[in-house]
Amino acid sequence: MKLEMFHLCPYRNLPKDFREKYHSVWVDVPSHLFDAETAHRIYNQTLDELKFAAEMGYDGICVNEHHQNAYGIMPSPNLMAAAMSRETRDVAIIVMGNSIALYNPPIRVAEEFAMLDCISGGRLVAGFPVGTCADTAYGYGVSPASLRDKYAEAEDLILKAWEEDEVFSFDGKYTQLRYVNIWPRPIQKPRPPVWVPGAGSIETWDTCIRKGHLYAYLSYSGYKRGKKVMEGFWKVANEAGVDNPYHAGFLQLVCVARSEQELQDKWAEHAEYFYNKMLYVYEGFNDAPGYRTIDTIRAGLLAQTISRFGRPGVGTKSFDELREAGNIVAGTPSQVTEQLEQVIKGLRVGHLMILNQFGSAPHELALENIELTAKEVLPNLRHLWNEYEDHWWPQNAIMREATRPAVPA
Amino acid sequence: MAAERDNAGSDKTGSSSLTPPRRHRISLEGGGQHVELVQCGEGSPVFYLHGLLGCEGDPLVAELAKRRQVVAPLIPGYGASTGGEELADMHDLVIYYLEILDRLGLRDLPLVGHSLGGMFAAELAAAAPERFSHLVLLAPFGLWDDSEPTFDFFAASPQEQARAFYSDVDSEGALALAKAPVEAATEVDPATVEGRALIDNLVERAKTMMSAARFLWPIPNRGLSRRLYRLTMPTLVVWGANDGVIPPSYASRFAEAMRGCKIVVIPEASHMLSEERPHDVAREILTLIDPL
Repeated sequence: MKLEMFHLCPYRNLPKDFREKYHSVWVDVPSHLFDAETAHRIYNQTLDELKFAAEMGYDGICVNEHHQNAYGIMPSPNLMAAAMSRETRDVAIIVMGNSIALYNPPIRVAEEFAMLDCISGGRLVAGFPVGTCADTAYGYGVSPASLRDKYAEAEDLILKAWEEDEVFSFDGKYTQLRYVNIWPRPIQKPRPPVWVPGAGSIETWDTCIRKGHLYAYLSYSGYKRGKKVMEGFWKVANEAGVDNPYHAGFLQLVCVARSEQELQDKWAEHAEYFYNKMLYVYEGFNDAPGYRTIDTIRAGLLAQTISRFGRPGVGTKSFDELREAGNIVAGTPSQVTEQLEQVIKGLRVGHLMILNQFGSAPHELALENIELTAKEVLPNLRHLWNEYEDHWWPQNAIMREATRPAVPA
Repeated sequence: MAAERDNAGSDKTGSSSLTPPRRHRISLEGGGQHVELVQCGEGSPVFYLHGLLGCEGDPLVAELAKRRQVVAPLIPGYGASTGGEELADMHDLVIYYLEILDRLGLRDLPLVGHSLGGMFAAELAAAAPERFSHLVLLAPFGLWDDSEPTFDFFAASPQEQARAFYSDVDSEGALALAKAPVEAATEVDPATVEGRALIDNLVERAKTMMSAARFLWPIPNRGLSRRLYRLTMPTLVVWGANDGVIPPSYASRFAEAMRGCKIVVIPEASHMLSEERPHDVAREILTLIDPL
């Protein structure tokens, strides 16, 4: 079992009355609410928390890409990954990922990921999300009807740019290049493992199985509602003769405390901040026409990772309700271990991406949560799926050589 | 032309005193698209391109059909018309319509387009002005002004859409639009009858809006202003005085760029002027194309 610490890098200081006064936390979130000095602190705390997770024993650290969004202020996760490639020595650097349909030309991703793989010594996991509707269609203006087509073409180009030994030309519908010949090339051969974060589009299941990419279901809805999606994935997988749990990953919010009282005192307000405020996304930004494919609509699946709790006019949820619904796994180390074992086995996932900092949780509390989870929960889960091999993990990473020559006497 | 007759289509344009609309399907050779054609009335033909919300039961078609034969191909993604994904850009779209006109043997006829269809009509006429005797644009998309942006209906709720598209929010059309289910809020079970019906409804709307988004997303401007000077045939631009989707001020932006263009503003009408004021709109069109 691989256990990874996932960070959204949320803006932790939205006003108390955000929900009452403003339209949406995404796309048109007012810029006057953004304080750059506060952001300076948040970015550095985020990097410190990721580094701490690596030191405490997490197998990997994950960063992701959002645009015009207050719950994720990393439009360029590659910058964070570059810093972490320097700050850590042995964990996987999981960029979850670059929305490849947004990069023009998409070989920019092939180049930056290759740089990250070289800097980190071959520890990169390359995430290729289609990207959320709000990020791609609204934030970056991509026509939703062409997004998936553009994505597929970008993926072909990037993989070929990594794997092809000779200079080649690429005559695509969206990108035309006379000479493709990226420098640098990734350390990992033929390329870093590819993970595809998904929000429940049925096409993504099929693509992951067909191409051998890891499918990561990123949802804040938790394991109870995640079951429907993961069952869909495993049905497609089983039909193709695939049953390795390492083929799939899942995101889960987790908080650990010594007692129930401590949990309530320390976490309730931050969990409620996340679900009731940070997921307050104007509904119209979630489902641009063509973003969800016709097949996905026919299957009756939801458009987005956003839980219904975050929807305007639907009402707020308390910490206890969020725990009950499975949005958050919270408890003492033994309670959390037991619940996460159920999540892992129930969804059949070999990778669990854990959010230890979410919402307005302050730095000190995040560190405490990371330490408790890493020391008292993760060791009891790591044995799971030992009988399977993880083909979606950096292999043979090299240790970084000393970067400073020894000073002559 | 191997037009395949299909009489199963419903006839909602009942106000026509003439023959009911006929529905045909033709297949195009190049892209292999299927085109559903609504044909109505007798006499010399008018080519009509419907608006964003389709032309199911469009009373303007019935009004025009009292004097002329209306030939209205459904935009790809609407009804049984397919192949929107084959149309990568405006050039493809223009060729698509020229192919339809060639297949039907239509030339030197009036071209009328509403809303999304108005944008297509302007582009088509700019590319092949010799094919059209007259051009009528009813609240067309195609231009953009930062200081007066068009309504972002893609992101709007059904209720907001109803208020923008219709002058009278209590009209039948507005009420139907306001009641449309919202995709994002809907998790449905396809195994149930209601679930099935809801999904069919969502699929139909997704298909049409997806198609529209190819040409209107994120800003409904594909460079038409550079081509408007070619529209030198007798041209009429008609706008609803209360258009909540494209501000009526856009009418003069079109007219300024076209020689000999006349503007008519219809009171008590919004973007759905063809539905809200079909008699008035039809009268203006017929005055242009059939002067007494």
